[in-house]
Amino acid sequence: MDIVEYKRIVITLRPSLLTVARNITGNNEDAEDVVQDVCLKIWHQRDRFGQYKNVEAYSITMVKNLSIDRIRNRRSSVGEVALLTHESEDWLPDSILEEKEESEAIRSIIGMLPPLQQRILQMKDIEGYETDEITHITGIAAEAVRNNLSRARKRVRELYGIYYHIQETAT
Amino acid sequence: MITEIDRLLESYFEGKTSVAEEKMIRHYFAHHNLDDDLKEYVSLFRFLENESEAKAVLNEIRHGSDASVPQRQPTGRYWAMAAIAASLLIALVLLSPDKQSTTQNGNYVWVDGKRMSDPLTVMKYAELSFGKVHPESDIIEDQLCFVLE
Repeated sequence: MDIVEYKRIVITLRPSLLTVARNITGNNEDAEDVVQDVCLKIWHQRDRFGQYKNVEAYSITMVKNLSIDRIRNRRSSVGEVALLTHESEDWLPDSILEEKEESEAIRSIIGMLPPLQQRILQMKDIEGYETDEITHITGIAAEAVRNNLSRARKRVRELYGIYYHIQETAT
Repeated sequence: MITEIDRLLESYFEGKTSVAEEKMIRHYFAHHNLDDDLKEYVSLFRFLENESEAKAVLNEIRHGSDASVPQRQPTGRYWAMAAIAASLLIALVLLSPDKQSTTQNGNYVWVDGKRMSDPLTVMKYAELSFGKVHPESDIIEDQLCFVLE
């Protein structure tokens, strides 16, 4: 699947996926986030996508599961804070170690970063902003942006390194 | 020996690379045979490349659909709703009690703020109005019958 085919599939599926997500989460913001996550998963799994006979049914199942997860996460926000502030050097949750998909593991690792680091990493590495643009948008000093970005990247490297070596050893 | 990619990676993890340099790093890890110590970066940079590519497309789709909402052209659903509304309006007009048809001959006149359809009653009022001018009553009656027919 190339990016053009991907775009065609997403444009076709998006309305029905949004409807399902809205019905479960009860609000547009969460529904948009869930649908975006599912669409990103579709892209990351594009090499294996041909094996699914009914892409829409498969995508709707993912939307349902993620929407339910989102509702659960809302209820357990205290645990989430604990997860974000965890500072152990060699700590990696079982849920990530059990992940079969590398992209899912990396996404989970990024999700474990403190919110500011997470946001700066997203803006720089995924949305493609330059450091001075992030400074203007967030109002954070350039040096602080660089420090947070550096910490975020090193933390992702460290945790992904643990995941990578465990996976390598297992295979 | 420190290679160019080592130098770029060091800058990257210090948060000091530009977007252009980061693209070079991603390109390098996507297209080169790598030493074992660099292989663990492959998935990392492939993830970032995939994620940013897909997010750009999703943002484009999302903003495109948001922008089109206020300017949306009437769809089949809207035409159907308009047709139903028009049908209801026509049905109301056609099926509502026809006030004219309840009268004897389908006509009426207003006399002193009262609606009258009975020719005899109207004639009485007319005669009163004209001071009971009997010589002309035949003319008035003819005219009223003409109006009320």
